[in-house]
Amino acid sequence: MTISKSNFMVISITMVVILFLFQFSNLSTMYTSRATNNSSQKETAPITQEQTLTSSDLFSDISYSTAVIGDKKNIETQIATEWCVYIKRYYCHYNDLQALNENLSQHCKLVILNADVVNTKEDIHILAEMTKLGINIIFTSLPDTSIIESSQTLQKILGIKKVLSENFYTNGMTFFDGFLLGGKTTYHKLKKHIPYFELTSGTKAYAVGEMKNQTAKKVKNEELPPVIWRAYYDNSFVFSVNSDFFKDHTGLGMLTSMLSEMNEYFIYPIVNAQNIVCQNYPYLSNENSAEIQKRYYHSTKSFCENVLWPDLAQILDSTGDKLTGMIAPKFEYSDSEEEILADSVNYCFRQTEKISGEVGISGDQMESKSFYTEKIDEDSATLSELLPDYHFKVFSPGEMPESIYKQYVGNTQKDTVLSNIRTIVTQKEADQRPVLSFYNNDILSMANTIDGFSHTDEEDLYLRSIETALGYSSASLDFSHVIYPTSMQDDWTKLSRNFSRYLTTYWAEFREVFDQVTVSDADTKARRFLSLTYNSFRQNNNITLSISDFQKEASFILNLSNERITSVSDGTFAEIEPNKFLVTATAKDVVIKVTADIE
Amino acid sequence: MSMEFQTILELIQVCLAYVFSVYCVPCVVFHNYLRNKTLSSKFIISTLIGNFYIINVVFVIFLFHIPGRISLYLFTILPVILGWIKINRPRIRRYFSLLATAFSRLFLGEAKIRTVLSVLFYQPKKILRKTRHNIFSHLKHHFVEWVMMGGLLAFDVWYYSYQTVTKYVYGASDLVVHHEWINQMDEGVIFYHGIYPFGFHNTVYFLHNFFGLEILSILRVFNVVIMLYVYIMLYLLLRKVCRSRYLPIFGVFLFTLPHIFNFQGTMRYQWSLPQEFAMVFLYPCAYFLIQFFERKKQELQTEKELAKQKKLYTWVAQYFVRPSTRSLIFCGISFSLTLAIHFYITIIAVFLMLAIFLAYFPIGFHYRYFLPIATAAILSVCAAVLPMGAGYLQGTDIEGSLRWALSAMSSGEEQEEETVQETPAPETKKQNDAKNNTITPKLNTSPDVSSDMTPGSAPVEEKNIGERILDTVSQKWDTICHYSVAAFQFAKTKLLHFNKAAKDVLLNVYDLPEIILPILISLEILFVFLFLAIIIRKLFYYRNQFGICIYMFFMIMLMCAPDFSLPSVMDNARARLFLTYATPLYIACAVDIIYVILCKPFRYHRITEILPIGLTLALTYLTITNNLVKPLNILYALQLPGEMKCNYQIMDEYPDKTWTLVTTTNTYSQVRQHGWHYEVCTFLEKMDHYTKNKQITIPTKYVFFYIEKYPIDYGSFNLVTEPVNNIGYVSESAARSEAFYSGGDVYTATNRYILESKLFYWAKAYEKKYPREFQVYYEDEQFICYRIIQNEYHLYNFAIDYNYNN
Repeated sequence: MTISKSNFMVISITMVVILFLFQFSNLSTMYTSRATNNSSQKETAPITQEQTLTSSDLFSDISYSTAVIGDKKNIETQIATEWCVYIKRYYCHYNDLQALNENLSQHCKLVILNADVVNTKEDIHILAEMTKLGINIIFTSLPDTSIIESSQTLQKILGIKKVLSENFYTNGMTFFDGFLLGGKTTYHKLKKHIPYFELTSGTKAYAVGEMKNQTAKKVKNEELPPVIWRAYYDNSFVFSVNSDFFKDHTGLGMLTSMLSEMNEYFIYPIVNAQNIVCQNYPYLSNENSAEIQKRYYHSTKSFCENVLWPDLAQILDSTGDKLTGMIAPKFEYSDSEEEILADSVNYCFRQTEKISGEVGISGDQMESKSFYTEKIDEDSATLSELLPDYHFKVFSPGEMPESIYKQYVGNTQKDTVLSNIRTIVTQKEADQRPVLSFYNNDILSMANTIDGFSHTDEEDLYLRSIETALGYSSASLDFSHVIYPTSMQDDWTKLSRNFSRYLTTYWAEFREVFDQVTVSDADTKARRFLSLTYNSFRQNNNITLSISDFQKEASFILNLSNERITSVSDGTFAEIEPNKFLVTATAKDVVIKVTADIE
Repeated sequence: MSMEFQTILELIQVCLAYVFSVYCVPCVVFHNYLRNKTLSSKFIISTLIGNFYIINVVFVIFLFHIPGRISLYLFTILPVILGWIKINRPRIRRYFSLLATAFSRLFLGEAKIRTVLSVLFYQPKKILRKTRHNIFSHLKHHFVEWVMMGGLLAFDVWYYSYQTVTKYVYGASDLVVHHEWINQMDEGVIFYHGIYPFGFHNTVYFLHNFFGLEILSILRVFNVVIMLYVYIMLYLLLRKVCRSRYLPIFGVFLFTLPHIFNFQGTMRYQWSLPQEFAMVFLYPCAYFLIQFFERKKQELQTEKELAKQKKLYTWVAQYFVRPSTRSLIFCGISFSLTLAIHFYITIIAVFLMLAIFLAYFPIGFHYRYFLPIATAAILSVCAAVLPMGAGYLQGTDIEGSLRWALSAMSSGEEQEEETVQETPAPETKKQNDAKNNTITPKLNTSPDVSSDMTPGSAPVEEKNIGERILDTVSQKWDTICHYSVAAFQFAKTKLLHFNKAAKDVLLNVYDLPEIILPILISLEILFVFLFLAIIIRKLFYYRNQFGICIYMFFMIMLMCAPDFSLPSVMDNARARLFLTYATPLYIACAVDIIYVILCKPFRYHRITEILPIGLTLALTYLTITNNLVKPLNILYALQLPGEMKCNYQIMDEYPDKTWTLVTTTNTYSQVRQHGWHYEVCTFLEKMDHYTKNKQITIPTKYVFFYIEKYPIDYGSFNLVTEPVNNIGYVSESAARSEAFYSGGDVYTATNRYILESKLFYWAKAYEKKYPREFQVYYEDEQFICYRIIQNEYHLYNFAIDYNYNN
């Protein structure tokens, strides 16, 4: 069989064309990639702290609508104050109820207090007087049972019929739907010692403690130990929290839900961002290869590129999450002779770009504290050489003490890898810092809210509470455990399976509704969130929302009562769960139309 | 969808479902038998068969303890198909053999698919073509009748559906009980409260289960369908007995448009009640009994003639069942249906058939007539009583009201005795006085006269034979004259007394008193005239008319029985309904007799029909122009329209069994199949003498509270065009009062007012505590419905101190 010349020519040309077409996309991507070049990118000037509403801006001793009572150093008081900033409520702080009583504003609609504040009969009397004025009260923690038992008035205010037990060990807790986002959940491992109260009629429980052998003891559900409830006394609602949820930011979303329960409808701003922060990944060195070789039959470098990266990319791709990788060039800075290759850097940056992620810088190293400065210096030298056109915008200090990084972040004079940082991602509850706050005038600090490899009942409650308050979550995956495993629990197979499982189960509901973004995008959203002010009013079935200091887009959660949204002018909406809607405004003035919800 | 539109839609659905079941299906199944019949015959026969069938199918599945939708479908459809095949076998067989041939030719390649399709659709096309032709041909020949009847029935539909379309609620308190019984049937229990004629319930159950219609929907609108049938049956009987084609429409007109009758005579047609449903089958009894007499006579004559010619076998062989027997079967079915649905109608049916039987005296006593009638009567009673008997044998007791009715009837003597004793003495006295004053003195005159003739008082003269004969004749003549005068006087006195007494009683029946005396006098005249006509002319027409007159007389006597010291079969309130229904029948017949007499010279030509048409149209015009149109009827205050609206809305919007209604008992049976019910009395009673330990929980996600802001004056009535009667706006003073929480009168008058006031102020107090959760679901001027959505895992305690806990 022979091929004619003309046929031979046609086949050859076809093959060349096909080869070109296949290679063209890769080549064009390679040549147009800006993965390692962001210094020349034009950016809009970020919102600075001066342009936002801070706690000092919202502090008002005359026209405050919320009074926060308690010691300023008390964590409960701090969280209440932080919440006022997020919810944009003018507040005033008083150390005790007497002080509030003397300076009570006519605008005051809400008093937030804790167990330490109610001590005397006078305090109780003041509370009773406030309920007559229609001022709602939130107890972030309850006074001692002896105080409650001694005062009938306080019992009535709190809606307590009698104290059944001063110290009852719950066999878990159930949070009912309609309170925090995420629906009804029973936490079997959330076991706590709480006082056991019997409530009067007219109260509504939002969370109750579980009881061992409830059926055998013939205890009705309504008789279970209440954890969070609402009572109505005189003209006011009184909310009580019968547990230590306010020892950290778990209480944040609870305050929002309580405020929502006081109103026919309630709309409040949120960040609307879900992050995945990969702490210490991409990892550029080849340390601890012997251990990795033993476990995974790969060198560390090969393991990172050929095992971790595909796994991670696949998991994130299946859930639609965006990766924010906190690059760790090395873990050991004392005697490591590992050389970081430009290819490795290019590889990880291009792969990150492919999945629309971003790369920040990690502050972790595996040695003693004294090496943190060296790390910054060495990283600055290495990365400036390998990535001359890339400015790191996100910094995750990890274990690095603030005292070290504070002299570098945002300091352009020192010209380090941290000089252009715009966002700091702090660890969960690090120094009880606010979830969102300005580190300085330009840099925003955002806290991680979840450990990506762990999910306990307490963590779930914490996550749900922050999601309720801010529509924000940041899951942190610390890869230092993977590179330097200490036990079988650090096995990547287990960790990746857990991470994948959590993403598609416990956290899925929030990821379906809220935006999955990188840390930089979350930063932008958070700055917008912190800067805006808003007000709303309802006329029949129309809720009008007016936003001041509006920047391009703003997200809100609208809580309705057995109603649903039919349309939103200049914006979009999505149902998070029954009666709770995410509203995204694309203009300053938005009209939301609602109608009765029918099954 | 508005409630008005929903009701109209339901009305159409129920009407179509019922007509399909009792007219269309029997027409198809008995096509072979019915195809040569007139439309009216087809209609009346189909209606009887259809109703008889569906009622008994339901009985069968219940008495065999296999209730349910599947068995209902099976027991309904299978016999229908088998019956259809059996009855129409030649046609069906021919059709299918043609089809089989066409298919075999198709497979052999001798025919195309088009040929098979043409064979397949040939018969349906033919039927459709014929039906279309029949409809047009019928309309062409009966256009005026259809227009007139259509107009009158349209008015009736508007009139009798007005309440349900505008007020939505049940108009009669009995309906709640009937609804509950049907609910129980849905749960597999027939004769829930004991043995009772369940024909009506079976029909509703059938429509509900077979067509998936809601019981509530059926019971709200079924009255309109029933009413249409009642009117049509009146028309059909009149068509049977009248010579004129248009006077039956005149009869329907009388029952429809003019304001002649007391509102109570027609008010029950506004509600779907068994008694009214049974009335559908009242006149068919007469229709088929008359038809039996007519056919039997014809058969006997033919039989006689053919027997003479010795060809009787040819005639006998052509009938499997003789036409007269068929008539008697349908007569029996009608009678059986009355018994299966409501006993009172059976009593009236007995009167009606007795009246016709008397009119056919002495023919009816001939064994060739009497024996079949007696057999049919026994069989029809058996057919109706058998299911009830089977139920009784299965251990179900007799229902309370039925026991009462039976005892009232059986102890009629007792009652009667009491009645007699209690009958006002002046009445008896009057009669005695009347006897003394009229008859006795005149009878005494005779002996006086004759005493003058006694031998001792006058000289005896010798007379010849001729004179003696003349004397004897003259004496006899005098005696005859005397007795005739006395009889005439007696009759006159009795009639006058009857007329006077009847007139007083009938004032409760007719709102137009001017027509009472003409009715009574015309009845008396017609009695005489028809009696003579029967003797002279021997036509069955006069016998039929005579039967109707006797029936009318019976109905009047039913009303007047206590006044004439006769046993009272039923109370006047019920008797009034039947007299009302009999009146248009009688008047139309009376006018028809006049028409027959007047138009005899014209041999009842089409031209002569101008008279009845003119009469009807003229009276319609006069009725309308003189504002004599029957005004809209009354509405009993049993439930507020808002309540029914909420029932529908809740059933539509919320999943079954996830909600509870806290309300009075009115709604219980209406919603029971879909949700739960919590009685207001229980709810409030549990909160009385409030302590902290009181607890009321309702374990459903949604709880609705029905509160009457204007509590209704339960059981009172007013015009349907006005708002439902109420006691007034709820008040704090009423809420403060002590209420009672049990007994038959708990939701009547003042106690209802107190209960609703308490519930209203409870709701206000509860709303304060749960402003987000306890919301107004529906509100109108008179009614408010609150809804609370509960956490099913942690229920609300509804017991609170609302300041009016006694």
